[in-house]
Amino acid sequence: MAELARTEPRAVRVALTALALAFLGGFLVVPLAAVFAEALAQGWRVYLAALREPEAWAALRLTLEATLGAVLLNTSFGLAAAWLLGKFQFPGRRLLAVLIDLPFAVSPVVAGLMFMLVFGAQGWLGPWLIDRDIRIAFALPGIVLATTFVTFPFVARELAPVFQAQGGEQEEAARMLGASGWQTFWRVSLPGARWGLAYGVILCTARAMGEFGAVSVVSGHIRGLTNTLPLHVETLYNEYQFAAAFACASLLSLSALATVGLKAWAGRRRAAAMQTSRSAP
Amino acid sequence: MTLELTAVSKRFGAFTALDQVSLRIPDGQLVALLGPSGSGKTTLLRILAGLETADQGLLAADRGRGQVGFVFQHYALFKHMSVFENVAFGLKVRPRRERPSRTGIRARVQAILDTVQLGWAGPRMPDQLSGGQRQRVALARALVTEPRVLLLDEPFGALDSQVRKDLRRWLRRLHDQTGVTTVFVTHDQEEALEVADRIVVLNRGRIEQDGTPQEVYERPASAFVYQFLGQVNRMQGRMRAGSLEVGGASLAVAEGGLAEGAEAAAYLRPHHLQVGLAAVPGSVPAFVRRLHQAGPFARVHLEAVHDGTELEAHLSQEALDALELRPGQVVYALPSRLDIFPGAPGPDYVI
Repeated sequence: MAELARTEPRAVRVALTALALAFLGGFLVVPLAAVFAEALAQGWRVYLAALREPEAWAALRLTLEATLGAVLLNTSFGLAAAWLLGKFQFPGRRLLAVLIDLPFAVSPVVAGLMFMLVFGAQGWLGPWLIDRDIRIAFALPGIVLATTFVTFPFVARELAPVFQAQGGEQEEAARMLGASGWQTFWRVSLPGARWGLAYGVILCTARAMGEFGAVSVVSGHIRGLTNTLPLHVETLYNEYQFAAAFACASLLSLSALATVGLKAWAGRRRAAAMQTSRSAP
Repeated sequence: MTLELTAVSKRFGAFTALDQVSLRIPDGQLVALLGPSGSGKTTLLRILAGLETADQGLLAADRGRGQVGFVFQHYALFKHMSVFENVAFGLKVRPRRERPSRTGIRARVQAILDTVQLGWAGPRMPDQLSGGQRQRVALARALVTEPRVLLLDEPFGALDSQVRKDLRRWLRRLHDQTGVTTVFVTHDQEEALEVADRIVVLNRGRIEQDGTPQEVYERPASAFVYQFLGQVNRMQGRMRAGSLEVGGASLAVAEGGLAEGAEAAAYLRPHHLQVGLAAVPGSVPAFVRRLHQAGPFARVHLEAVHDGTELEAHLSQEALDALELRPGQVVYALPSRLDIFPGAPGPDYVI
């Protein structure tokens, strides 16, 4: 492929590269820079004051709580699903793989509505839940559920190919040495796939922190109570508080940049791990 | 520990990997399971290990925790653990009351690493070692629990030929020292002949022959074993008046059982083919095609005059010098020993 690329005329190569860079600049770098420029447009004081607002704090805390909940749930589900998909052949395996990808195909707003139809006051379980004073819709559990649904595929999808590349010989070796199933999983399979797990968790975290659509439907936008950071940004923006909106947006942007860096690092380790798994040493 | 299989069968879908195999391996023996790929040898080993279950048949073996050591062809080392941790694994997963102390584990791992001449390699990671070193780590890992049976699946198959030779001699010495019952799978007849006390030859899920290396090499029980172990000449012919007619010669058949007109083939080793300049009863006229004189004996390639069958004879250098052979000349090849098996032309197995 590299040889083929070199046969293109120089002008074509330069033009294509310039086009790609211009596109990246126009659609990625400039808007990102604009976020920080707007956030700091009225100086550091205003920026810091916007972040010190109790409502901004509450939104940040809620976002972190929802993210933590979703990541914990998806790590356990994802581990189990990836283990099943990567290590076993069984009827329905393809169907399971498709189901795991389903949240990618469903619009987050629709996902949010689905939860409202089940847990909302007028939903199937609504009256039963209200009788028992269990709050899911318009509360943290609903936000966690919606976020979990939207970010469900990440861990399973990133981890399953790593488990598959490991093959089964190391597990068989562990078994022959007298290890139990649990010992084999915790000491052999999982450590061998740790970079795949890290990669999936990073992607899941990033997506969970930024989730808007599904959470917007289930949270009810109660300021200082059920507004996550992305919802808070929207609220501020709609109230023409641009500096405050962009200050909060800059937090999300920073977390995104950190994610990109972490993701690149874990991705390299993951690729290296899969490489050594595949090639017979 | 004695291992005993009785009438064991195993299928994978439509493929019969093992067909009614019975085998008894007494304590302390070193046995080679030899056969081409698809012969069922690895399946047999994995059933002995408990990694596969037989569809039918009985297995008598006491396979407690760490009683059976298994070595994989591609080593199956734990890639995220150091060599020390790999070897220590079998001890560390034991329940607390059976587990040696930390210093006890350290001492045992170090001792076994010293035995495989890798005492220095404890802190290394597996991917920092060569193939031969990794396989020795795998052996150390399997041996550290002091198993009563050691099972090896093509243990030297992925290694260079020189390393392979060193390691198989080492395995033989290890067996002589420890006396642990050992079964290894190989498709390399030279490896089986050199290392094992006993060779079990498998083909298409059945045992073709079971005997000492000398028995299977000198007295092959079937055409397959003849062809699979060592070099062989094969002459296809037809039974006529109690003899086998091949290539213009009539070969005496020792035992009966072959009907008049039946297709059969004579099998003989190259060193059982004598070359002479005069026709004698039972000799096959043949052209000399090529002479190879490098090596401990001379190899003479012949082509039968009547049907073009290619033959190879191994002579001593002195015998060859006395004959003064030239390519193209006609000579008479006389089998000094042969076996006749019924069957139509065609290969008995495909590699």
